[in-house]
Amino acid sequence: MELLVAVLLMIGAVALVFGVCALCLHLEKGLPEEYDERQQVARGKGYRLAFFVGLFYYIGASAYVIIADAPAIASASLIMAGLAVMLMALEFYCVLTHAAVTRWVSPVKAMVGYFLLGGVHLSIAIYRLLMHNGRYESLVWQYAYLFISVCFVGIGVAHLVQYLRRGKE
Amino acid sequence: MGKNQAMKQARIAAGLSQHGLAYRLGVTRQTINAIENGDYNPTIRLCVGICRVLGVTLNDLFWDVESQNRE
Repeated sequence: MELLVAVLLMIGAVALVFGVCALCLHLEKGLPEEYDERQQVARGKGYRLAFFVGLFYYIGASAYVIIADAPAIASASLIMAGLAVMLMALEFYCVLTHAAVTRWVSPVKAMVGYFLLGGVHLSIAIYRLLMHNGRYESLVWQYAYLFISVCFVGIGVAHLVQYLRRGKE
Repeated sequence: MGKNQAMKQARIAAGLSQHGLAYRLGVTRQTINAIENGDYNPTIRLCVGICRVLGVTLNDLFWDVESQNRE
């Protein structure tokens, strides 16, 4: 029964993400998806920042895995979390420099997308934390999910703050 | 890089808001704001576009007379 619920939850989550992506693509049909020249420069700096953040993160994570002699499952979840950290660094920088979305895309749409992604990960993490069997391997993944959801929600909040600030200008 | 007051004045004289100018140039409003505040150094292509829309010359907007005199 639990397995069935988990499978249905996963299918629902994947369908939701695909649905949101399809809706975004439909709404943006016919609009050029171009960043202007300032945004391209800013995004370039954002990618550089994300690269170095990722570099330092993975050096730290590797050191932790070696020193603590962590199992492979911990390494895998640290890699997953690292991707979220890099994405967060890129998006935070781009949001701060107004380079996160093109002028054709509403920041509200980006915000809702990130909140949805965060919500999906958060619901999976909470569900699995409630259902977990107490094994370390299982728990590590749950915390990775939780961390990734916090990253996505954080990006959504950054979009929201910037959107509210823009409204006051 | 100082504020580009000349561009701001030319834009206001042309009766355009930052949003209106940005729309006509195909850039974001924040880019126009960054240029006016001296936070972004635009490419020559964008400079020419701004001049065309505002009906002024490159010298009018982007030739920094003050810094040239200091040199």
